[in-house]
Amino acid sequence: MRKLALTDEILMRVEKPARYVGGELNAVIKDKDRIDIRFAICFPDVYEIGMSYLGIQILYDLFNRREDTWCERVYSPWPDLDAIMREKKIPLFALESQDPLKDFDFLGFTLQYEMGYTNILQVLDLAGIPLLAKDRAENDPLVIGGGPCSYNPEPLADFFDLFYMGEGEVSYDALLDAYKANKAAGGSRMDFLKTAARVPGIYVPALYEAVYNEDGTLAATRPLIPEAPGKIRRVIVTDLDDTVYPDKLIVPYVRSFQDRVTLEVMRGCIRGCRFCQAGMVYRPLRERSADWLKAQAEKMLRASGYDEITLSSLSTSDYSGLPELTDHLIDECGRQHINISLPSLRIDAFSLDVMSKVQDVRKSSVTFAPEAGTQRMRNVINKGLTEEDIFRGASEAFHGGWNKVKLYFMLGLPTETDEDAKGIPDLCERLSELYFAEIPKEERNGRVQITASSSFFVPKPFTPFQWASMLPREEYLRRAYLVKDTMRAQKNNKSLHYEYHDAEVTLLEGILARGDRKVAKAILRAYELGCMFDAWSERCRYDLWMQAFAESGVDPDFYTLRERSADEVFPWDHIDIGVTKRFLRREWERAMAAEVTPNCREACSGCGAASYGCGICRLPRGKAPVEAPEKRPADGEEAQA
Amino acid sequence: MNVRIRFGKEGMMRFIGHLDVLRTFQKIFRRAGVPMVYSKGYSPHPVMSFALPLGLGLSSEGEYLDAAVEDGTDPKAMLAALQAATAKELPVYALRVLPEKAENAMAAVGGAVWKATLPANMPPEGAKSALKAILAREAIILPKKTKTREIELDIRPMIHSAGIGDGAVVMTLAAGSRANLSPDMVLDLIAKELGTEPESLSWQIRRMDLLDHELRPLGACGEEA
Repeated sequence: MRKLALTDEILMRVEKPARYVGGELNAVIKDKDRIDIRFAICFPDVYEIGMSYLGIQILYDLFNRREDTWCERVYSPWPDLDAIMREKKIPLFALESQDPLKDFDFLGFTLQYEMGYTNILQVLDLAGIPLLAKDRAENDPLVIGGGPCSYNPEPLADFFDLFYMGEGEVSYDALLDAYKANKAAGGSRMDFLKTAARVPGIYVPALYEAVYNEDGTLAATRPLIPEAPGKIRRVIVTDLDDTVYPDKLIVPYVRSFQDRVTLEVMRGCIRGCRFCQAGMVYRPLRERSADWLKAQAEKMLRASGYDEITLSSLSTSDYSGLPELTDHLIDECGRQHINISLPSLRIDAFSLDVMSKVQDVRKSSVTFAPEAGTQRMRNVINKGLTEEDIFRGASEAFHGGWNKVKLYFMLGLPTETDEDAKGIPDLCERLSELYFAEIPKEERNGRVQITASSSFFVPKPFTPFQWASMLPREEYLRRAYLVKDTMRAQKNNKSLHYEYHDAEVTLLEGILARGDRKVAKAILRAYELGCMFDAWSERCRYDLWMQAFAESGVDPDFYTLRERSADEVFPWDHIDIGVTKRFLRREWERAMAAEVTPNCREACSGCGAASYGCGICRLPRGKAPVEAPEKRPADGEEAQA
Repeated sequence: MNVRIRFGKEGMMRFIGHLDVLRTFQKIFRRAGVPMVYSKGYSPHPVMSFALPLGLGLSSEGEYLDAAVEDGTDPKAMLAALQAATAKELPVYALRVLPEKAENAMAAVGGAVWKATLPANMPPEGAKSALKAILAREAIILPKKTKTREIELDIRPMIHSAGIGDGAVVMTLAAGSRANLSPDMVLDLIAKELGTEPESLSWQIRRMDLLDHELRPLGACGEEA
């Protein structure tokens, strides 16, 4: 029997002790005397959230397929256990072996959201690993980061030994082989880091220096030694039917947020929404074949015992094999009492038909993500969803028996006016009117419910909006109140609901998202002041963060309230994600002119991702304009490619 | 067709609550490829019930679960499949096909056998005489809180047997919906009899078996696989 790291007495004192004991179905146990590399992989948030994330399961499976490597998991101890561990000086441990993290060769973090950054420091601190990479000794674990936030690694550069740019399937074998070889040859930590810097996709921040201009903007991020490449290119899988995928998911005992089999149908997105980082950094679109997915679904359901399956991608409606796959799943799963949970599909006749087969229409709702209230604003953000689409979809949904509609919006988008903000309640009102106009009284099933929720827009690196300024806190709130008040003034206001996200967390996220190396000091200070679990808005201490910025000499406004000039050097410019800065700038200019750019299926816009030579880039399509709008010969011709 | 399985909770499984264990068994049946019978209605769920939930932190080798399965013609194969599909710390020991009229596990429970390892600082001889003195009492009246008020309860009839051997207290206590006695109550009495604060002692408590109203093991019902 495994010995647990925490005593019974402690486990009985904390909320949900199952978070810390491991032992789940399909968790991997190896003999530590017969392996060479111990890898701990961490989602820096509470267990139930971390366990819901597919990426960890993919990497866990990938690493554990190697006979010489044992990969284990670790999550952030919740504040109740955090306090006990500090008081009793119990070092943080991995779930499988229950051994201290300090014994490991690697500690990997997945960086999914900026507000999880202080939790990284919590994990390092509880593990007894020096927070700053430069303070780590030869035998300390190598701390490596990956995931979407690593595409701007600079605010975290001081805390990490390495970053992995891209999809884990590609370079980890080379990295682990290099580690083993270095260890066998008696090489030092620095020897390994220098070798690692030459592995495709690996960024070793200590081998680069950031040079600043007098005004505080970045002049350059320069390699310090010849081994370090000037640009680190993201690595990606070219054929998704040719990857390993976990047949045996780890099945948590306590209910996680995604307590089901997740089937990743494709990577990348054709849409090109200008606010969306995922839509740019995961290009190009690469689909898995329906046959591959059907076989994988069966294996995973059988090995996990889950009674639910869901499809995952950035925009599942764009998966070309969707009708075939859903038909198959509805057929197979229905027979075995397995539920199908569909992500938000674009609402149309097809998706409504599928939804009516897999869920209770009376209880469920249909979801639209117009992101903005007016067509002008939607053109600016390149959200290819027109008012006509929304009304046609809603009409079909109402006739199909649905009477709950959810709408997602953003406020604080570049060029947004009060008219755009008021477009949100206006759209909601007209949807409720559509319901009353189209559904006769005797067929109505209760009151129509339109729920709009808005988040505040945060400009992200590697998006066309990476140049944009954010707004002062008061201005975000003013716009949210404007929407709220206008919503209340609508005729059908009893059918309309509105909720909005926190403005303070938005600003913090904005600083961290586009931060440079100087921001690290503030993150460290915020952690020292007690910031943790900032992604849990009720726990986020904006006041402590502001104190941390002040004490570390970091000016938040420099990062948020400043539109960047066209030629500004960004902290992430030495990372090459495939999509070029030139394309992003062109998209920024088209946004300012409210010009729509066609999606990747309609036409190629020459974003740069074709340099990977795979996925949708290899299919014959039309060619979209590559010129900035002001240089176009004539209006209106290009969108019809 | 209904089957009853006997299983245990060891190590980390002691910290998994009984609803999570129930959900886990649904997954284990699926993994084992044993088709379950589902309830009727809009959201059907597998028909499955526990004999008696076990408190968090306690280990056991005598837990029972009844499940309705579509096909019970080969119980041996079913047991082997479940054993292959479960986790090490949730061992499945036995499976029996229940007779048609058998009472379900929850209704059948009348007693439980407990084993509590003596705390390191408690001499067995002292514990023995303390237990003897307790069992010699005709009535043991203890206050018990109900939902609305506090009542006085005689727990002596709920202690069917108790003895000390092998460094542990082994006792058979009333359990189930009619009368239920927690082993802590008896262990606290021993502590008080010895003049020790109950909170200062740490017992390792293990449920050894569950019994029916005639104090026969719950696992004796039906045909052995």
